[in-house]
Amino acid sequence: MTQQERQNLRNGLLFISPWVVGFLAFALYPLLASVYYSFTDYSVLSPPVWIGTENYEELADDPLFWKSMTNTLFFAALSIPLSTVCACALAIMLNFRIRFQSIFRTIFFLPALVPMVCLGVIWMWMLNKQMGLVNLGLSPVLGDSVPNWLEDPAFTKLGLVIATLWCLGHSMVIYLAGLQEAPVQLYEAAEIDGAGFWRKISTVTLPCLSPYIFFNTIMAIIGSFQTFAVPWVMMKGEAGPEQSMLFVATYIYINAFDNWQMGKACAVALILFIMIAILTLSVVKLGERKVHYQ
Amino acid sequence: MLKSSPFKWLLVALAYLAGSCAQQSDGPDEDRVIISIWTRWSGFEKDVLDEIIKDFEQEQAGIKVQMFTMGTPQKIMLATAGGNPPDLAILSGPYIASYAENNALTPLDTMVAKAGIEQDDYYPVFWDAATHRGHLWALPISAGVTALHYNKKMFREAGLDPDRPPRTIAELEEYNEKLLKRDAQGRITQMGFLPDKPDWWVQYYGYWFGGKIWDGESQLTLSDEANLNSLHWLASYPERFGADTLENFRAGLGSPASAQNPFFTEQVAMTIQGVFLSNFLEHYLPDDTSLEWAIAPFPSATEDGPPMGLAEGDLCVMPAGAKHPEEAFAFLAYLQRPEVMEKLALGHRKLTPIKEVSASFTEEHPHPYIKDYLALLKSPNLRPHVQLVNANELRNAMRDMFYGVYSGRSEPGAMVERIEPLQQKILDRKLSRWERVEAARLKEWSEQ
Repeated sequence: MTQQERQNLRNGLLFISPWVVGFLAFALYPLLASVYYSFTDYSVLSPPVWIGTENYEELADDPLFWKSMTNTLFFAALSIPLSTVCACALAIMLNFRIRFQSIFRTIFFLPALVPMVCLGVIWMWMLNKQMGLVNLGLSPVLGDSVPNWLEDPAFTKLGLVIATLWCLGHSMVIYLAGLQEAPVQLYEAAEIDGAGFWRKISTVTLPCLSPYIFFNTIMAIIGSFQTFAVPWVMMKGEAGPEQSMLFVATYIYINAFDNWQMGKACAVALILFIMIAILTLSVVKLGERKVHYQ
Repeated sequence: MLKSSPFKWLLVALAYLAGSCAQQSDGPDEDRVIISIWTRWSGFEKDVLDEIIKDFEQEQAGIKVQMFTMGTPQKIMLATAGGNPPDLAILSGPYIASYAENNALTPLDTMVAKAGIEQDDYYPVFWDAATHRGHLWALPISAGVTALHYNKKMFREAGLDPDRPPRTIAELEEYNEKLLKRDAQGRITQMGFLPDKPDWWVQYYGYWFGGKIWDGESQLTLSDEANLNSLHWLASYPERFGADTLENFRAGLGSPASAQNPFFTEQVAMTIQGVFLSNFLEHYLPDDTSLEWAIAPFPSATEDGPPMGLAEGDLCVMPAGAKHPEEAFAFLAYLQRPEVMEKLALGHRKLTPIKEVSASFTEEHPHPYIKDYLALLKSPNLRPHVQLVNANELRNAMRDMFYGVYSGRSEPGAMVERIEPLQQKILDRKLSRWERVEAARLKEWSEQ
């Protein structure tokens, strides 16, 4: 390296050093410490005691842990495809040239700005069996057998999916940006070839949107596996009827701060991390073949 | 400009400084020792303690007490873990065992002995609630006990004697049947008793059937006949009234801590409540004097033996690592003086954990049924919240059991079979972890 290059390198590193220090102190160190603590019995107030893989063995036998896994997988399996489809559809519709386009775009984006705790409280009321707006809308059709969204274990996660779908704003805005990228010539070519609306969507729009779908899917996987604030507030700080709203992140919280078993919580967190990492890598592998970049 | 070295370093230094927050310096230097106490109280309850603090500060000019309202007990643990705990904190419920074993509290035995505070002055149930592994971890500062609250007017309307509340569970259910009202479509509009309004103590119904949660040593006793009987009683609700009908009725009822408390709106004639119901009444329905109510011990499964009640109280603990233990204990000892305790109890409209109360306490107490409560406090059959080191997990599991059975979705025997072995395993694990540190801890505690 020349003298100038060395100087440039040093200047660059110096200027990003605050971020690097922050990353090491607040992201990397806690991650490594968490891996270490997962092999200990640690209640925060007393020093950690090394117990080897006892926490993991405990988790293997723990029905609450497996319940949290199935709850999380069910929720992710439901919310990821639904939110992708809905956000895409919304973005396509908001791309039509109609009169109040920007007002509609704003309205559909606003729910994404609601803080998660407020979201939990709003949907706690919306999903109330007697007085909620959702059941008010469903009662002409279902009468008295409207679902008890918050107290029936069969419906609590569905209620949560609805609440999550309400704040699609972020992914919708990204799809909207992606739609602007789709070249007009491709649409014209498709029209000349006699493609109708749905044909155009499937042959031009979706392939052009594929990098955005790829990105949003990964974000959705990471987000849905870590869901905690909204279900926790909706269930008023508990895990829901028959533990139906016990997600992995909820279980981590309960172990860490209710039961004061940091070691076990770190073990669950590590398992969650590995799960999300594997899923994300699989999506990336899949994306290599399916995603078209311009 | 960037080429000059000193400016570059200045920029980097500024970046670091901007990222760090400057510590606020504490207020003007005082000669007094400042101790902090964390409570969950706000509103009038806080005002009462403020007055007591003023009295204390006048007497002990060298100590200043700062009170903070902190919502949850977890914050006490977190602050202690972070090395910055309050000097005193008010806890309630079954947290003493797990906090003590996790080394979050300072044992008070030596200080209590030095101050001359006598165990015999207190009702045993409150002193025991503060004891764990042979050491005292807290001092009770107020007391309460749960009792049956019933509506005399609704009794009269249903043809029941308003001065003869039910004494056994069987009688409770007889009254329930008589007080039940349905509308033309078969929906429930009024009920005698609903076990889950409020749902604060639903995991303790076994007590009134003579059941215990554990044997006091190491075994849970959830599958005892008495506990199973209580679950069968709860399971009879969806069987008798219809699970869906009951659910519809329950979903339409208001929160207990509001003016829509179903006992206030006369949708439910009997409820299990604590000594603070009269506070609620005054707070939420100050202008409504039409509610005719009275209290009685909550019915037990059998009529023999002294009445049963769940004893609750606020316990004041000293977290481990408190900066000013002596001054903090001085305030705690002040709170234990009978006249101060009575002042707090009068202000909060609660009871005191000490056996002797002055005549003026009984006369001045704003609760209309204070005499009945004082009589109930004397019962030797009162039980505290279960003091187990896995209290949290057990509480959640037992509440699951309650809701599973009460909603008609699960059968009592099956639920207990599923839940008890799991909780026993958790308890066993915690007990074995205790055995690992027992010697060291006991030594540490006896030296404090």
